[in-house]
This record gives sequence, structure tokens and C-alpha cells, in this order.
Amino acid sequence: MMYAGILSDYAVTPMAAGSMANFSAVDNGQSALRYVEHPFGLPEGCMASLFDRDALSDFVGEKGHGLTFFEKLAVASAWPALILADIDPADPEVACIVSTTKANVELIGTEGFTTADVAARRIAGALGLHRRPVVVSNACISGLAAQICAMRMIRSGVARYVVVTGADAQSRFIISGFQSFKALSADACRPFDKDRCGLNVGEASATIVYAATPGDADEWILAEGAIRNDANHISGPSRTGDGAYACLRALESVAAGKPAFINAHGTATVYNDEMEAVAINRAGLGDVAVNSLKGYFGHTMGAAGVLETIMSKYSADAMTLLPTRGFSESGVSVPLQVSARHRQLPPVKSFVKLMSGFGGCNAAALFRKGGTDESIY
Amino acid sequence: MTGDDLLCALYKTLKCSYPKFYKMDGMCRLGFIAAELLLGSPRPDAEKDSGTAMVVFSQMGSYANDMRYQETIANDADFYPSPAIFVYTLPNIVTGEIAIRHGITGETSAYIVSPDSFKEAYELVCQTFTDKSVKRVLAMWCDYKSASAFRCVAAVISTTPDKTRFDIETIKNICDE
Repeated sequence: MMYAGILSDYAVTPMAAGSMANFSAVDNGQSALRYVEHPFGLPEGCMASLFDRDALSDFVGEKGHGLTFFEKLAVASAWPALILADIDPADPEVACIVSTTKANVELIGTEGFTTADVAARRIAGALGLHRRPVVVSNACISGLAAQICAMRMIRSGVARYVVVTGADAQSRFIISGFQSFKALSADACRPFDKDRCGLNVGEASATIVYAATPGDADEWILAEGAIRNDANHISGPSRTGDGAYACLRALESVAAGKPAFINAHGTATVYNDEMEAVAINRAGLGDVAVNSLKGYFGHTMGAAGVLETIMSKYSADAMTLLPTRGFSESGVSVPLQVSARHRQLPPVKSFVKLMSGFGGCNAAALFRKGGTDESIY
Repeated sequence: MTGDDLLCALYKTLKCSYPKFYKMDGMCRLGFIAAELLLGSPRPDAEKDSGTAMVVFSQMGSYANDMRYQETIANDADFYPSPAIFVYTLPNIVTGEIAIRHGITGETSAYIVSPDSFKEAYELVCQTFTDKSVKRVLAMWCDYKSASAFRCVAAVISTTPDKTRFDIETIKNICDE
């Protein structure tokens, strides 16, 4: 049996370039969130984590020639991750999944606009990948859904390597939409806090290269993943956390041994955080440490699932639970082990990543060190 | 008669009595009608269906509705962003609408692929069955460019042996009809 192992990863955010550099920044309590008075010329301001676009273009360099900002953004993490993976992009065994919610939407109505499949092909082209990429666009769970998809591709033998790249560029389009929803907080977001009042948007690019592996003990593998729908509402989660609960229940190895921590979606909207807390408790995981990274990066849309998985992996290796920035006093109806401070962890064998999004979708995945323990399957 | 009129006419013919249909954007209406034709109208007392997964492919995604939303924010002088329109600016909302209508609580996924990605679509649908809870997959090509240019091809793929074998050729044949 082959597992989907993390071969390499790379994250680029307005705060830092590189997975470790971003982890260190977060570990030191830094945040990329800044107040922007007129984001993309909009009348209303918001807290956001946005790139200096020229700096990002410079970072991508010649690889970004002829690409849109969104496409450059994707390449910004995918190219370094491919170099770290040390694999030949032209190898037909290398597949590519792009995770994005809105791709080139900032160019809609202009000549430069392309659909996401075309954008993904240009990204793949810039990377020298030969196989046709697939775009996962499953709202806010995209980044985790894409990784689950990669795991399945490897396990079913469809590919030996899968490059999973998550990216989204913020725009007038996205920010005005969330503002119209009254979903944005004017201050830095406060996940799971009693005073939480909305999310902050962010930009990021994050890539994980997965590889088929027998699952050595020191290797991180994506062991299990599940996606479930609430079948309840298109723009709000189930109050009883049905979909998220069903996802957690579907992770069989969680029943065998609790994960060291759950990295939640934790957007800091009233409904999302409450829903996650309820789902985690229903799944019998109310005593497991929980954190949210939105206070550092904002909600990075299609990148979020990949970026937060990478940060969680580094924190697991450092045996430390990253604090939930912005949290001070619990504002959810059930007990939840959220902390504003670092927490030392014993050697971490596994962690869970949880996400949910518009359209009623939810996803959960279990990451584990090594794939040797077959007894739990 | 535009294509949108056709979808509304089908809605009436099928006697769906589901007023939310009129709130939906074009892509959701298209997928909704396709699911209604394929699965039939759900019984009011039906239990939630956790054994069905949904995989929706498109190239345009929510493009038509994105254009509609863009018109509401393009100019400062004429600026009236609407949450009711914004919520439909994602290509997976159609999976949510169908899930609500038919009580589908299994996996729902949305992929953006080029129209000739038969092999990729085949692999993605097959892989959905690796989740042990999946008994059948409602698979759809649901592509809505405008009220006069849209196409939906839908099929239910199940693990029980049937007269039609699910493979790349079958997908091609259905989509080329």
C-alpha cells in the first residue's frame, strides 16, 4: 500500500517567503494583517493581508512572464516547492491540482480574463508540467479538498507525484462581496472569541508536493480525508455542525487515537466558529487542543487549506501549538481548548485540519507521521 | 424564448413547487433542473442521503453570475453590491442547492476543467468511490456561460452493475450526443 507523503512544501505570504520563514513569523506572534483604507478603490476600509504586487512579481521573476497576478501568485509557491521536491516536472507521473475560489476574477469583463482551467494550464506551463492540471473550486474548503484529491490520485495509482497549489488574489470583487455580507471585521479578527465579529481577507500562495511513499515513520502523510455537505444552507453552516461532524466521524484513525491538535477553519465569523466548536464536541474531541491561524494570515481563500496544513506540520515538528491570535475569552457555547498562548506538545504523531465553506461543504483530514500502523484501517 | 425561459418552463412542468428556484443564478437553475429530471422530485418525508456524492464539472464556473455581480460594483457612482448575487459567485453553490433539495449529505465537489477533460473527469469520479460511504455519485457537466449558451450533462454512477459501463468512452459518447 502506498501513502500520500509530503515531499516538499512552500508558502508565500505578505509576511514572508518560505514555509519555515512563515512559521517563524507566526511563532514570533507577527501578523500580516493591516488596515487598508480603500482596498482596490472601495469606499469602505478593511483589515487585510495583501501583497505588494510589484514585490511579488519581482519574486516570481521570469517565470511569471505573460502571467496574470493570480497566475504569478500560484507560481510563487509552486516553483520553489518543485525545486525542493527535486522532481522532473515533465515526468508524466507528476499531476497538478490548483486550488482557487476565484482565480482571475479581478480581470472579469476585460480582455485579460481567462477561465480557471486556462489559468491553471498557464501556471502548469510556467512550471514545465506536462500533465493537464485540474482546478478544485469548492469555496473555502478548496485547499483541503485539493489535498484529499491528491491523496486519492496517489493511492489509486493515477499519479506518483501531485503538486497541490492553493492561491487566490484579493480584489474589488471579493472584498465588496464579503462587505455586502457584513462578514468582515473592521479590526484584526478574533477566532472563537466572545467579541469576534467577522473575518479578514488575505492573500497567500501555498504548495505541497505529495509523493507516493511506503510511509516511513519520520514522514508526514495525509492518511485520511472526508468531505461532507450540510444540505442546510448555501451561505451559512449547519448550526449543529452536521457536515463538519460527519467529516470528523469519517476519520477512522481519530477513533483509535486522538490527534495532538485540530487546526480549525476559525474564520472568526459568529456562525462558523460556533459551528466548528459544536462539531468538534459532538465528535468527542472537546478535550483536544484547537487553534486557528486566521489572525496571522487572514482568510486566504483557496490557499487557506494548503497554507494552514503547512503551518500545522511545522508546528507539529516543533512540538508546539501555535496560539490563536486575537483570541482572549471563549465565545462559543461549548467547551473548546483554544489558547492565546503557545502550548508545548509531546511528540506529535497526528493532527487534524478542518474547514468549511459556502455551498454547505465541509472537509476534514488527518495528517500522520508514518503510515506503518495498518491496524487502524 | 431564451434558455432561461426554458429552465423556468421545465421548472413549472416538473411541478417542483420550490420557490427558492427563482432566487438561484443560471448555473444553479441548470443543475437543479438536471438533478430533478434525473433523480425525480424528492419525497417530503425522505431521510437524508449520506450515500450519494456529487461531483460537478464546468469550465465557466459561476462566470455568468460573476459578470452580473461585477456590474453592481464596477463604478463608484453606481455601486450596489448585493449579497444575494454575491453568494452565487462560486462554482460549487450548485452542489449546495442540489444537496439541500435532495437531502444529499455526502461529499460534494466542484472542479473547473476544459470541456474535453474526459480522462480527468473519469478519474475524479472513480476516486470519489474511495470514500467508503459513497454508494453512488451524481456526476454533472454543468456549464453556464449565458442565458442562451449553457449545457448540462448528468449521470448517476453507482457500484451496482448496470447495462452501461462507466468509462472514458461512455463519458465521451454521452457528452458528444
